[in-house]
Amino acid sequence: MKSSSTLSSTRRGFSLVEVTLAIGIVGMAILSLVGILGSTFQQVDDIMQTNRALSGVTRLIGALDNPRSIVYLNSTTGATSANTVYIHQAAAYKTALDPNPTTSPATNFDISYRLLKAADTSAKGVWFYVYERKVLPSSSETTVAGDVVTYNVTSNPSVMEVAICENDSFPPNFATARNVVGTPMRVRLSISKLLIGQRCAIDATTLEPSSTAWTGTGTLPDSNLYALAYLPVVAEFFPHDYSEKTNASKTGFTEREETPVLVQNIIISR
Amino acid sequence: MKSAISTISRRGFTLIEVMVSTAIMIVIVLAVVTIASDTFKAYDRAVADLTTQSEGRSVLDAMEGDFQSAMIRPDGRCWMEVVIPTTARSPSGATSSSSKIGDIQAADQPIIMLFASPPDRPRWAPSTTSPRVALKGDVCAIAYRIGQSSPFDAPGDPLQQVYGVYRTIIDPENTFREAIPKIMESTAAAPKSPWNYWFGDASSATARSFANYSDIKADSRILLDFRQNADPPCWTLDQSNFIASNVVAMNFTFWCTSSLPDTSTVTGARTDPLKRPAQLLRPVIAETTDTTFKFSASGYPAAYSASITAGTDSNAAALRWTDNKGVGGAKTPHPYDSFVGRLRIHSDRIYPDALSSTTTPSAAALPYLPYTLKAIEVSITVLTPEGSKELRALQKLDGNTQSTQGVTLKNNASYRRIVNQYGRNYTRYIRLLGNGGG
Repeated sequence: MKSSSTLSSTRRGFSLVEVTLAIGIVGMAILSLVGILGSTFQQVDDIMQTNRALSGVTRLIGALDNPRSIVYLNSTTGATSANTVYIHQAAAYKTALDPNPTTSPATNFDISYRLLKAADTSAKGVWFYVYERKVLPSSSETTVAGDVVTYNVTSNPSVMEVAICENDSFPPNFATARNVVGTPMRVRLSISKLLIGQRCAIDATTLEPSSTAWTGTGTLPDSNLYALAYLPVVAEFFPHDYSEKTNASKTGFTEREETPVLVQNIIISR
Repeated sequence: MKSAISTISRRGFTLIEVMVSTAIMIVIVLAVVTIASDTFKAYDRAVADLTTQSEGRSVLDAMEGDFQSAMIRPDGRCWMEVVIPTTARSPSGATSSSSKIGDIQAADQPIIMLFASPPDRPRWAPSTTSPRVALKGDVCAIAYRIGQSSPFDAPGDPLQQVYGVYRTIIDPENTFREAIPKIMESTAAAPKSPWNYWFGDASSATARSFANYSDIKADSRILLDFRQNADPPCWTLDQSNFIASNVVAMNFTFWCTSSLPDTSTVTGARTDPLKRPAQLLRPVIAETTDTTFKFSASGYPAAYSASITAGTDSNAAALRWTDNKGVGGAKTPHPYDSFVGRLRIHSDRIYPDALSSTTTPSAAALPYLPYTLKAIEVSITVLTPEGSKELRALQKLDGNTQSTQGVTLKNNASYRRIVNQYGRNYTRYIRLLGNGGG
């Protein structure tokens, strides 16, 4: 009897519940590890986004120094790859930015300044899009005939482009039409608080700098009455997820979409 | 009784229990395998991103420092030059088909030569004796080029050949003694350019003395030639100048302003036929013989071929090449905003290809482009580790031995496929602060 009882207890297998529990625990452990890996990959993505933003900073500075290279996109120009309208030529901007291009063309600083002079707060910031685009559309890279794919080019160089969009909208079809690679960066530019306390306006009567310093709010004077040789601005870079402005007044993106991956001070010089 | 005990103690799982547990196990295993597969894919992608980005940044960071500090004196001389080997209009010594490197097409492997003051320039004479001697001066002759070599094999061994970017810096004293005088002796009748220093005045490369900092000695070697299997290699292909691997294309877009008036009623006069405002940045880029990539109808339309087709090229225009006055109309594009073999850059003008300072300006045409270079946009294509591995495997399978142009695949289509599938682009816009920026 002693022998049979011992044999019975030592050879008893696991019950179904035990096996299921064990598998469940192991599964949970594996899923946890995968979850950790997921956050690691998220960090890799963040690094890529930040690096993309850093590349965009250089291009953006170049664009602000030469604003005639900023492209204007609307539902017509953005939906085709024809790239023919610049910000100083767009009907929505040209009168304000470069009113007499033939008789008295505006300087580069004047155009950038006029574009940004009212952006005294983030809410009034001017939205730019900075992206990398391939020279050839992807449809030109390969030719497909039946099951045979022919690769046409040995490389397809890319360039960075800075654009301002109608209603600040850069939908996916713009990205397709303009051969955009990767994630476009959405950039909000506003006047830096470094300007607070500066006597930046010229008194039209005395032609001397006004005694009133800028307080951080209000539109700056026109460029011919701006006393300083530079304009400090803040650029906030956001990864563009093709979301549109969602609030009723269409003045901004949602809070979730306004976590910048990079904030950069930029000085625009005369 | 004993038999009954034995029966009880040996009772296994029932069929239902086994089937249920097997089903659960299969579901869990499938889930884990799927997740693991996705994880490995994401891991491969992350590794490819980080690796290629690291290689790309090596090149772009170095170029940013060099181009930003580039010295382009406003003295009428050429201080920067780009040469595209194998093309008919490239300078003497670079036109041969054997100057090709591997499978890379000509327009993707330019050699750019300039003068700059990089912060990582040599600052001490290469001497093993003490005290060490500081080098005088800060301007260095610098060259970038793509080459093919192996970090592991002996020259001539076809295994493990990888493409890479080489950055060569000549120390300031050697630059002052040999490179700058070569530019300074330039006259309108006998123009000189950086090519005359790097390659020599003769039709073939000549040996030149320079300080070899990797061996702490003075070296006398050819600075620049095109043989990938030379032993030792020319100095610009020396391993000590290797800065990034798996780079299979290096493309430049030169952004310039112009002093051409955009409004003129004189036919054939010195006006921009596209009537672009002088301050508008315009690109000057390398032309290519690639059938899809060339500057013609249905091809690469960013420049100014005489055969641009209204409504076709403009619709595919990818670079900011004109405003809407020139698109779809009867405007004749400027014929020299692209180059085939060489581009000589002065502070306020550039000479593409055959345009020469020995040609006299006329009322109808200028012998140069009155452009001021403001920025250089660099685009490089880097293969992922997986792509590089496949390329090297194909090189080995093809059984090619290394020739003067390195190892090539039997079928260029395979090379194109690999670049298309595994190539990652990295771009940087670099302003030439020494020439006014932009």
